[in-house]
This record gives sequence, structure tokens and C-alpha cells, in this order.
Amino acid sequence: MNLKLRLNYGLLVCFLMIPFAFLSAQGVLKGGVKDDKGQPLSGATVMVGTDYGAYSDEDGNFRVENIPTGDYTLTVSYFGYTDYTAPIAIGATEIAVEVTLNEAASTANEVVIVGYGTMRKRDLTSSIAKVKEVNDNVGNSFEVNLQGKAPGVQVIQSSGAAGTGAVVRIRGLNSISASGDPLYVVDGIPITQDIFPSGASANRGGQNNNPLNSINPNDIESIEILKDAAAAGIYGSRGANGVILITTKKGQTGKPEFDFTARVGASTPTKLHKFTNNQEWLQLRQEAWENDGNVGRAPLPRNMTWENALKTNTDWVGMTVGTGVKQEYTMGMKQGTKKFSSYLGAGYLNDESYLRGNNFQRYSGRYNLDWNVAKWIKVSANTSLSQGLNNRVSQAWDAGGFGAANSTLLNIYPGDDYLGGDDPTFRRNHRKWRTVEWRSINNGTISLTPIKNLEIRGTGNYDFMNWDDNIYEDTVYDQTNHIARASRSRVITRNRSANLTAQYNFELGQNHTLYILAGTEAQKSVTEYTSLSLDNADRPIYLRPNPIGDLTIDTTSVYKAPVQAWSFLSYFSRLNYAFKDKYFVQGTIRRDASSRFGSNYRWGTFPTVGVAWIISEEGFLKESKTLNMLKVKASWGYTGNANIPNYQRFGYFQNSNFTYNDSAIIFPTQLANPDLRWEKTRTIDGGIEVGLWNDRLQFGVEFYDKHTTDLLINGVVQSSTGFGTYYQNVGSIMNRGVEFSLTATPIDLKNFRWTTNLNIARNVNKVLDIGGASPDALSGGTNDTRILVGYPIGTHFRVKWGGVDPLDGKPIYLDTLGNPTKQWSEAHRVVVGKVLPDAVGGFSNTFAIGNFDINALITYSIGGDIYDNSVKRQMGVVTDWNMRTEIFDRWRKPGDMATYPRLTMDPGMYGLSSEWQYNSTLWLYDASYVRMKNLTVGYTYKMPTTSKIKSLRLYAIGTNLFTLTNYPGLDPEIARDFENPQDRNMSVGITYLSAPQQRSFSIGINVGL
Amino acid sequence: MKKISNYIILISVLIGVAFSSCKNFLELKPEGVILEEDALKNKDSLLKLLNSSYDAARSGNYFGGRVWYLPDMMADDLDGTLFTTDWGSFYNHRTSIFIPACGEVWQDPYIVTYRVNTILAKLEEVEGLTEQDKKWFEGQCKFWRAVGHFELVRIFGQPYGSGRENEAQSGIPIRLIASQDKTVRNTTQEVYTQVLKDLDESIAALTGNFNVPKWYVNVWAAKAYKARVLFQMNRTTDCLPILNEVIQYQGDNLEMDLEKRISTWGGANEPFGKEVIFGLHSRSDINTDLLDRYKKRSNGTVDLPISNEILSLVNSEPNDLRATAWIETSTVDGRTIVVSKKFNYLNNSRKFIIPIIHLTDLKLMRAECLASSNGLGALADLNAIRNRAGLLDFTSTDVNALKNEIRKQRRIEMFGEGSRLHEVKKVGAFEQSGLTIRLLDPVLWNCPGMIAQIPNAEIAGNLNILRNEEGGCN
Repeated sequence: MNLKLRLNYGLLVCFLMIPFAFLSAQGVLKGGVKDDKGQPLSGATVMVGTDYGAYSDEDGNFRVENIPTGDYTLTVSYFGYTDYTAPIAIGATEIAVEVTLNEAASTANEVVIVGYGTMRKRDLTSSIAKVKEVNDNVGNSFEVNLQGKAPGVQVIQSSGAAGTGAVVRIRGLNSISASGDPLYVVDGIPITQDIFPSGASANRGGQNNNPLNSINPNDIESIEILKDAAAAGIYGSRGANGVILITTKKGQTGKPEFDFTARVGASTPTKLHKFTNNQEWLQLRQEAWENDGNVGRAPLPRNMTWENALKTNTDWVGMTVGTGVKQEYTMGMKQGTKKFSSYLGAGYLNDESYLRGNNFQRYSGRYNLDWNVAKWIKVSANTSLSQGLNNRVSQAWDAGGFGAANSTLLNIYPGDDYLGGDDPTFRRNHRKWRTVEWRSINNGTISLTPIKNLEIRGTGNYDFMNWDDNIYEDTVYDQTNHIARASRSRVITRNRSANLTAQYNFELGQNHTLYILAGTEAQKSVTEYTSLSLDNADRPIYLRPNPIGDLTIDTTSVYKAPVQAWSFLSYFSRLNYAFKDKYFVQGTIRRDASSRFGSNYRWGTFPTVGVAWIISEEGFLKESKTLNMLKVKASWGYTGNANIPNYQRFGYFQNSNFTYNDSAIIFPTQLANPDLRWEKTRTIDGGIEVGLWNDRLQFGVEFYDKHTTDLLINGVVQSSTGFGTYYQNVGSIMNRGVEFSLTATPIDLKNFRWTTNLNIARNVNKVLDIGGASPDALSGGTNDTRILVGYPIGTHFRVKWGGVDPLDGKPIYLDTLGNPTKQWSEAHRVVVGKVLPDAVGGFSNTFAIGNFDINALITYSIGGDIYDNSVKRQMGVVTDWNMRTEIFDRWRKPGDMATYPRLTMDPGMYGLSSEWQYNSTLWLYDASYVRMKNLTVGYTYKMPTTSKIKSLRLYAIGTNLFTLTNYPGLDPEIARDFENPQDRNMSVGITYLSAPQQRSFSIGINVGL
Repeated sequence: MKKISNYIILISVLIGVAFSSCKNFLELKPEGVILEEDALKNKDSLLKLLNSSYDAARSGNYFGGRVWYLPDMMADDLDGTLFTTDWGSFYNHRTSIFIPACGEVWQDPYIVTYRVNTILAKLEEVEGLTEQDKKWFEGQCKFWRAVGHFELVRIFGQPYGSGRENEAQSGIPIRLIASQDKTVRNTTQEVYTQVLKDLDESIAALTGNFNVPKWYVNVWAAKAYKARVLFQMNRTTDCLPILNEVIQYQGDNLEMDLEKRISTWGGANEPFGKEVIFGLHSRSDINTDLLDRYKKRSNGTVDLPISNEILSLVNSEPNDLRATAWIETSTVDGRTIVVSKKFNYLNNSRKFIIPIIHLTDLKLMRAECLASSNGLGALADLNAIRNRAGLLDFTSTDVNALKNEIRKQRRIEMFGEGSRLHEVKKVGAFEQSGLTIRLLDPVLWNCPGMIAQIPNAEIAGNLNILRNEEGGCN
């Protein structure tokens, strides 16, 4: 124990003893506190009832005086040990007790899920982070709530719209065109997680679908994040981006326990822009018109007249933004006997975002059953059913939404039906857009123990997803023909998998532990896409049980896309050996075959080896009172990635819907690459774990080096070949990083406990080779980032801004040598930044003060840059976009020193080909931020033991309460809508009219029965 | 241990049974497509692929749109004062590698080239083709390969005759085989040479091959196109006999109804009509870019307003029928815009023949060729055009006056047909090195930005592609 803590304790002891001096002495309790090895425990808290207490001294002895006679509960507590409680009667005479405290299960002995099994945390040779709480605010998808909680896990929430997910990156990014997302495994099932479902346009209205939000976070018991190759290697070809294992709650033996939670809250945007009003905008446009040498009044967009424009000042942003109301109700029941145990969970969520008309509702149910049929046979089954309803509105670039209000909806336009579907209110009233997702994740397991030490498990899994995107436009919406239209895009994915494992624990004497796991797994996922469109429909298709059979429909269009399927077949094995419980070796190997590769490269082998040494178990440290854990570990291994679109190895032709000369058409659509193969990542990992004062202070440092080769790249070919791209294995990437985590309990008193957790991870990402492709060969689609050798994925390759020429007010750009020029050219581009941050992490503090608890989670991201792709239009060439008030700081006459150049309507004035080309470092900002992600204040009522209510807690939650950042835009935490995985890999930190995160306040009640 | 061995054997058997059909389990093939190895097995499949070449040729990126209006934007037939983004960059001669329209117009001619090259490579492989069939396919394919290269080199390459046509990478990449091999730009001269070679081979293959379905290229189309290429090269002497031959075949009867001069559609079974030597049957079921761009909307606006220069030209002589038949003015928010009516006569039909080469063009070419040689005969062709427009005969035989008049008539006749830019470059290259366009804000015919920039889609695939110089026009 360090000096500071001792002083604190001393003060507290004095403070606690003050009341005793004023009370009449009636009884005395004295005694000693020892651990289970008979060693005295110094500083243990001894409480008689709630008002009388003392600390044990250096010899473990204590003495509590002046206790009025009566019956009390004696409680003795010491950090890292299980509390001792016992009734005690205090009389007039001195009473002596000897208390022995048992060591609590330390975090090192905690069991973690490792993929096809469990292990003690202390025995791990690999890097696994465990997160227990992922339900800390209302409405967030569970993966969003991983932010800041595990070192090396970067989580960026997409936007403020309801139902959105997050981009999760574990230890950097290994892939360019293949998905960089980790593998999500729920209760052993690799679930359907594709945000770009086959056939469907996954990016609608500036938002991607989030297949993870159908999982109720309240049903989750814990999440394990497998970070290095030694941990993820058991998932072989699917583990290169890390693996996130989600374990849902289980039943427990004993009386049924019920848990109810109700939470309500409100959300608003974290920030909004300030735009010019109508008069200011007109003034700017006129100034631009005259600057360009024109006379008379500037022509206005949409044929608006000046007369009308001057008297119209519509608040379009206000028409898209309001206050959202959130509510969530969940219920859980755990019960069980020695034979059966089960968990039943149910929940309802209605998460309204601040975007008017936008909410996400989830109805969810889960039932998990464990049945001990006999001593040698166990059966378990998990089943869940949920429905996610997402009432959607236009968000970013889609017409008639938040993005439009921030861009082309000028306040000179009247706010009535004048704009039709471009008017947000009109659009919401006459165009209903709802996605409906049914999701059911199920598995059944039979576990046999036919002989001692052998366990055979067979598991069958079925993950079903039916995702419908419904749009209904009424007769008013179609202002020309007044035809009501209902349409539906439907994606159904049936994901089946089965695995069979056998594990044998060898008995090799006291000093040796050896067990071997071997298994096989097969998985097949089949996705069907259909679309249906009805004219003259009177209601949305989701309200129509038999849409095609309805006679009132006079025009029907049905489309069924070819089925998309992929399959995996795998064999794997894991060997764990421990000597004297302090030297550990683990080896894994997995052989995977994927349908995405041809027979020549179909199978990939992914071996890993890990070693660990618990030095604190050695004799020279074993008796240490300070150091309870010192462990070093190292591992090496290969993991892989095959997460690319299906059928890329085939070259093929398609039939066209058109004819020429009444004769059919076929045309080539995809180039063949029969040699397509696995993307492989070699990882070396090393780490040290330290536990002090019986884990009262723990910290760990880990280093890793990852080298990915044979990158799966949707490589560009010269357009003159007649094709644009095809998948190839080209190039390599390096990720190197260090992670630090610290958990401490600086204060642990009866009525005041402070726990703190800090983690920070730095990752260096570098593209080593892309096969000689040009900097513009691999881009983030609409998001405009680049890949260059020697720089990280998602590099900002832009023209440097040199300021505004005070003489003529024109922009000055810098060429590659730094010389000023008035002509923008892509040839002037240089590397100026990156989307990936230097470091990310979280800092959380939990205070338990009497019955109150306070938890504050601060997340941060250091380094990296944001490119605001919309500000170049909001403060660029004057066109039909809204202008932000920052443009007032512009050049107006010779000699002006201004931030922004002279106004113009001619891109040529700025040396540009078009207003869209106005890309430069003027719009590149430091993305660093520190954010108060969550602040929770709770109060727990101490319920009498006789009460039927076992626990009762009231609490309030604030999310995204404040953000410290130099970024002048809306929100530095942004992962906008993406077109494909490559875009998603390259373009986190690019914003384009994206809705900022929600700031929300909620209150909740939790009742345990 | 024996027990363990038994269990291991049992598990192995179970695994074996469970995944005995693992090859099928993993052998998943795409549905709804034709695998490459199965695609081109017979004449019918080759024809279907050829049809896709015609389909791509009529797309908005090719003759159905951009091959017409992007050159128009760079010349002076249009009023692009209010053009923004892609169009603004073309109008203001400031294209760059990221201008999407550069990539779009580049892409489809090369898609057609890839497809016809695929067919050419298969002609000896596919069974059941007669020699006649092979000739027919060869004629078709080489025509489209020539046309694609020719149209692109005129937009992206240094102009023929500019003195730069032999500079390294002054043209575009020549693609003669269907492959993904990297290649740099050929010189403009090399491209023209290859275009003429392909057209000659197309003509040879189609000669005597008279049984050509009406919507496919025949020998006369190939000859007419060759005449266009030679005309662009200012090889008037070589051009003339071909023009004579084709015009004679066509009947030398201009379509006198101005409304039918361009926007004809006589139904799927009708021939092209008097004017069109060769045209493409438009896709009726999708938007046809040409209609959407040049045709006036119900609110009076139009995407591509015609320039005042055209309005002045067509009104320079009284009673020019084209002033009312093809042009109208429209007032929008107090501003007068000039609108082409050339497509108005299609009413609401989106079906029409996209004319690729027509008689008016040929006659104007022939008039110019004749004027360049001895002037004799030029007046007949010129006056046929003038008379149709309700104008009296032009009588001067002064070579320069005659040429100017022919070019004036070409400009009026063919405004909004993607012809003017190429005409300007030809005249600039061979006759008037100081030629400028646009009266208000003159632009020199060979300023760097008069050539579109090679698109990123091409450059990104090959770092050795040389870019064009940008801007420099205003």
C-alpha cells in the first residue's frame, strides 16, 4: 500500500471515529483479521452495524469501543477478499472475535470465453479483452457501447440517426477492399453481420443498415474481444480483424430471480451549424455575381424571384431537427435447478433520434436453456427472436432531409409544398419509409462426457434474418401523375452452421496440465434478394399480408435477384499445456476452405503458437505481499480474411433486359481471377501483466506487429480494357502498436469506493505495397481518401491551401514544392493527413458513495484528421447551397486579410474545374477529441431482507454531454454512410452532411425480485 | 487409451460422413449469369455479344448522349454560362482527371471495343460459322473498333494536323485484343492509321455481304464513316470518291421535311429513311440522354441551351425555315434562352433513330471537298441544303466564299449534333492557325483545354499514362 493511500485511510479512520467520542461506552468488540493462510490483514474494515467501526492494525488486530448493547451485523471487508458477515450481540462486556477472510476470485482467475471453450484468464497466452457492461445507455447498439472499454478497440459511432451502428476496428486495419470488421460470434454462432447485404442498396438516405441492432444488449452477459493471432487463430481465416464473442445470459440454480428495467430519455443533436438568413444569403450571391463582372441582380436558383426571396426565410434545419424521446423496458428472469436452468429475456425499445420522424424500435425475446440430462450428457439451447422497426428519414445526401437542409434547401424557398419531395415536412407526410427486420438466432448443443476427461460437443446453429426496406409514397407525393406507390426491398439471409468438437484433458501428474481440442465446422449462408413495387397502392406493403394477390393493385413489378451463397468448411485444433501452473504453451491450427476461392487456392492453413510465464508464481516472488501477478507472454501466428463479395473468382456474362433489333443481348460483366486466394496476416504479440496488492492495482502493456500480405484488392485496370476493376491479391500492409491498460481501486472503504480504469492504444498503420497502383487507383468512393505506399490506409492526399491573396482575393494553392499558384490542380496534391488516429482509448471512473454510484466514461481519440466534404460547398463557390456564417470572414476589397477568398459564382475564379473540386487543406481539421461519453448517477435502495424486492436502483444517464475538440464542424466522431467495405475501411473521419451524434439524457429504474 | 482411440475413430467417421460431400458444399457458382467458359459457344451467342456492342454504342455515354454534347460544350453551339460541375468544366475548358463525364465518355467506346475484340478472337474458335458469317462479324467488329477509337481520339487526343499528332502519347491507347494488359497512349497518327485500317478491313469484309439486317452496319455505313475520318484528316481528294459512291447509293435525295431531318422514327420495321446512312435504334425503355438534354421541358427550361451565335446565324438570312423549324426561344425568370427543337417532333415517344451519319453531313462534306479542289459541283450540294431551308441559291464560286458558306451551312444544319468542335479543330489545323471560337470570350482552337483530360479510371490503372495539359484557354 503506498503512502498516499495510507494517509487517506488515516484521515478516514479519524473521521469515522469522531462520533464515538461523544457516545457513552457500553460495549467493546476486539479481535483479529487474518487471511486464509493465517497471515494477518492490515487495514481491513470492521463494521458493527452501520455506525461503529475500526480498521485492523499492522498485526491484523482491531478494537471497536462505545457500542451500545444490542444485536448487530458484523461486517469485515478487505480488498481482494470476500466480505465476512455474521450476527453479533454486543453486551456490556468485551467480546473478542477472530475473523478469517477468504481470497476472492481475483480477476486473474476469471474465466474467459476463448472460442470453442473457456479458459482462466491467468492461463492465457493470447490477448483477450473482456467487457461486461454494454447496456449503459438507451438505444445504442451493443457494439457502440464497447467504445473506450477495451484497449486497442476503436469504436466510431456512425451518426446521430436512430438504429445506426459503429465501425469497430481492432488493432488497426489490415484490409483495403475486404471487410475490416471483426467477426461477431454470438453464443458460438458466427452471425450474419454484413452491412452491405447482397442485392440491396445498403446505403439509403445516408445510412447503412446495422444488422447488430437486433440484439438486445440487456441479454448480453459478457463480451470477449480476441485481439491477437493466438486468440483469434482458432477462427483461422476469419480472425484477422479480431473476433468479438458475445455470450448471452444463462440461467442459474436457485430461486427465480427477476430483473426489470425501465428507462426514458430525450435526445438532441450535439451541435448544429449557423447558416446565413435569406437576406445575408442574397447579399452574398449578389456580391459574387458582381465580383464576376456582372451587372443587375443575380439570377436565383429554382427560378425564384428576388421579391419572393427577400420575404422568405424558412428554417429548414428546424424542420428536420427536434427533440427525440427514448424509452426502453427490459425484463430478465434467471432460474434453475440442478437439472434445468434457464434465462428468459424480453425487451422493448423505442429510440427516437432528434431527426424528426426517425426512430428505431426493437421488440426482443430470448430463451436460453441448459439441461443436465445425465451426468455424462448435457443439452443446451439458445433461441432469440427480435423485430427491429426503423422509421427512416432522409439523412445526409438524400433529398428532403437533414443533409438537404444543410445544403440545397435555401431559406429563400418557401416552406410549403412548393418543393414537393424536397421539402422535409412534405416528404415526411407523404413518403413513409420503414425498414422492418426479423431476426432469430438459435443454436442447440449436445455435450457428452462418455469417459472421464473427454468432452464431445456437437452444435447446430441457425441465424435467420429478414430485412425489408419499405417505402410508401401517397398520391400527393407524386405531384405529376398522383399515383401512390409502395415498394419493398427484401433481403433474407439464412445462415446455417454446425460444429463438432472433442476435448481431452490428459492427466499427466501434478505438474502438468495438457488438453487438446479438435473440431470441425461447416457454415453456409444463403441470401435472397427480392424487390416489389406496386402502383396505386393504398398502404405500405408491410401492412399488406398478400401484396401481390390484392386485386386493387394495377401495376406490379417484381424482381428476384439470383441467390447469393457462400460456405466455409474448417478443421481446427488447440493444444494447451501448462507446467507447474506457471509456464504455459498454446498452439492452434485451423484449416479453412472457402467457396469464394477456386480449388487451387481453396484451403488455407492458419497456425499460431503462444507462450506465457507467470513469474509471480516463482519462489522468489511468491511470498511478495505487493506483487500478486507478474506475467509475460508472447505469441506468433497467422490469421486470414476472405470477406469479399461472392463469386469474384469467376468471369461471367449476363443477359440484358434489352434487345437490339429484337434480338437478345449478352455482355461480360466480371473478369475471372481463378487464382484468388486468402489475405493473410502474420501477428507477433508480446505483453506483460502486473497485479499489485492483490489486484488492487493492475496494469498491462502489450506490443504487436502485424503484417498482412496478399491483400484482397478490388484493383483498378485501365478503363480502356473495357472494365473498371476486379479482385486481385496484391500488396501488403503493416500494423504495429502498443496498448496500455490500468485498473485501480484507489479507495475502497465501506461507504466510498473509487475504481478507475484507463486504457490507451497507439497503432501505426502503413501500406507497404499496392502493386504499383497510382494514388487514385484505390479510393474511398464518394469519400475521397487515398492509399499511397508508405502511408496509412485512408490518407488525405490533397492540395495545400496557401491562404487568400490580399490583392485580388483569389485563393492561393501550394504546388508540391510549396510554391504558390492560383490554379488548382490534382498534380499539386501531397500527403497532408490521415483518417486513422494515432491513439484511442477510454478513461472511466466509478464511485460508490454510500448508496450512490457514479460512473463517468470519457473516451478520446488523438491525432488523425477529418475532412469535411460538404463545407467546400457551404463556404465555396456561391451556387445553390446554403452558406455558413463563417464565410463573413471573406475578402471584399484589395488589402483585406481574410480567411476565405472573394465570393464568386465561377469556379474558374478559384482556379477550379468545378465547385466540387475545391478540395484543399482549408477543409482538413484535426480530429482529436475528448468526450464525456457517458455519465451515470445512480442510487440503490438497501432493501430489508424480508422485502420481496431484492434490489431497487434509480439512475440518470447523460450521453455525449460535452466534447473537447478543435474541429469546427458538427461532430469529430463520425463514420458516415459507406458504399462498400473499401469505402468503410478508408473513410472513417470523412463527413458529408452527416447528422451529428445525439446528446441524450435518460432516467431509469431497475428492480430485482 | 484404447477407449480414447475408439472415440477418436468414431469422431473421425462422423466428421467424414458429415462432410463427405464437401467439394459440392464449397463449389458454389453464381446464379443468373453465364460463366465465361459457357458464354460464347455458337453463332447465336456471338450475335448476342455483338448486340451488346450496339447497345453500349447507343448509351448515354456514347452516341446516345456524351459523344454529342460534350464536344458541343467545348465548342460554341451551346450557351453554357450557367453550367456548373462536369458541364462547367467542359464548357470552360478545364477538365481534369476527376471529372466524371471524362470517364463516362471514355468508358463506353472502350467497352464496345472490348466486346468486338472478344468476338474477333472467337471467330476461329466457335464452331458452325461459315466464311460468310466470319466476314460479317469481322466487318461489324472492325467498324465499331474504328469508330470507338476515332470518336475518342477527337475528344482526348491532339488534333490531327495540329503538328502534334506524332508526339508520344498524343492520342489514346489502341486496343486490338481483349485483355487487361497495361498500355500507354498511342500517338494520334497511330490511332488514325489504325482507324483507317480497321475501316478498310470492315469495308472489305462487308463488301458483297449484302444480307445485312437493317439495324446493323453495312458496307455503306463503313464507307461513309471512312469518309468522315478522311474529311477530319483534310484528305479531301481521298474522301471525294467515297462520298460520291455513298451518296449515289443513298439516292442523293435529301429529306425535305425538316422535322424528319434528324428525329426520325418510322417504327421498328421501317428503314432509316432518306437521310440516315446509318443510325442506332434507340433504347425506348430508358432515358435517352440526347432527348433529356437538348429537348425543352414543359416549364420552358432546357439542360443545353443553344448559343445566341446559332440564333444569329440562322437569322442572318431572311426566311430561313430552320429558324422556326429547329429553334425557339423561351423566357425563364426574365432571361431568354434559345432552345433546339430538333427532337421536338418525336412527341412523347422515346423511340427514335440516333443518327450516326447522314446524308446532309455527307453532302456538306462533299461540297467542301469539291470546293477545296476546283469548286465545281460544290454549289449543287450546298444549294440543295440551302434550298431545303427555303433559301435562294448561293452563287459565288470564290473558293473562300464558297467554303465559308458551306461551313456556315454545316454549322446551322448540324448544331447540337456534336460536330462543331471537330470542324473547328480541322479548320484550325489545316487552314487558320489563329482560329478562335466564341465571339464574346474567344478561345483558340488548339488551347490545351480544348482537349479533354484523360480520366482517372484510365490513369489509375497505369502510372505511365501521360496526361494532357489542362486549362490555358481563358
